[in-house]
Amino acid sequence: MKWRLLPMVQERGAMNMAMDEAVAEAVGRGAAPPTIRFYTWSPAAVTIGCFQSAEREVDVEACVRLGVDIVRRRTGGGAVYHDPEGEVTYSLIAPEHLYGNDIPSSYREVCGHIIDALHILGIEAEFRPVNDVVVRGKKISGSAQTRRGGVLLQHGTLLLSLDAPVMFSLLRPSRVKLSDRDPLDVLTSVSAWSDSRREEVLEALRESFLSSRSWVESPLTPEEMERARELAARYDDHEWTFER
Amino acid sequence: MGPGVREAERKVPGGKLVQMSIGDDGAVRLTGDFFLHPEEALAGLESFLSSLNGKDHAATAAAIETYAERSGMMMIGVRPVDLAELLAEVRK
Repeated sequence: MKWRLLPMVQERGAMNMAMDEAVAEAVGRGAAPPTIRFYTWSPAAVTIGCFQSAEREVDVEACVRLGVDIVRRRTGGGAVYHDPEGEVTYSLIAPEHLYGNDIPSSYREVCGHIIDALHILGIEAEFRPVNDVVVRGKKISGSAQTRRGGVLLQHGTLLLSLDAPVMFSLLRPSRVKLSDRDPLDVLTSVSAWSDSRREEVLEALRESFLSSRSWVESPLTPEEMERARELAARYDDHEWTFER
Repeated sequence: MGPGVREAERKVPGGKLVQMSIGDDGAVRLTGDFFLHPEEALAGLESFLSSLNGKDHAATAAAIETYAERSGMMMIGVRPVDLAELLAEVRK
């Protein structure tokens, strides 16, 4: 089976999430091959998990003041600050049967590509269930997965550099969640462990996700792009974002 | 949080966070960074939790587990026992 690598794009948050969903729909109806994409966000965005309360997790006023989008994902998990320069996001979208029914195991398998990419860069990382990759106990990558219509969609971020003051001015990590940790001590980034430039990180990611696969690089089909534009309207919808 | 809403929060083993609230109308609402597959199962789970009095932790956890199995849902990062304990707290 030949996989598709989408060209790297930098998009706004609603469109990034809409593209993931449009591809998942296309994969589900057999109109697109299993797909991997790497992308960044512009403007900066905060995404929240589909079960989270936007107002509880995000300083909405700070986001408005700094021009940061707020987008509710279709996947569970936590709030993420997507800094255009400070991270790379990946999505892997494939027929569910390729990964089996064991969801925790499939998290481990897909996150293994992040661990492999970090290894290429000389950074030893490990999987921390359910959905994190850590370096010496600090989170460097988080992922979230949904399975709908027979399709597995897992997306996640790899932190390249960490602007903690900005991040924690936008997010409101629960006091309960951080009860036993210093908020600035739970995260790390590639820049803390390696001098690798962004392009080297991307190359390592491409290698780790694709080296064992037959693949071709090609863009979204016109149908997928049109559908993504339609779906973006939902991700832009204030009611969707603040529904919980 | 509106008037009359009671809520409780719990960090479960593995680090996921679950918040439960219950309003004057008795409707239970769950938020947090947990995972639930399929995601659409949340509304049914909230309705089921709304129907439980939550007094007996063990019985409540067992009922939630049975409900999850029958519904074909998978909870990741939150366990029936966590929901049972949260329910007891918000129903105090």
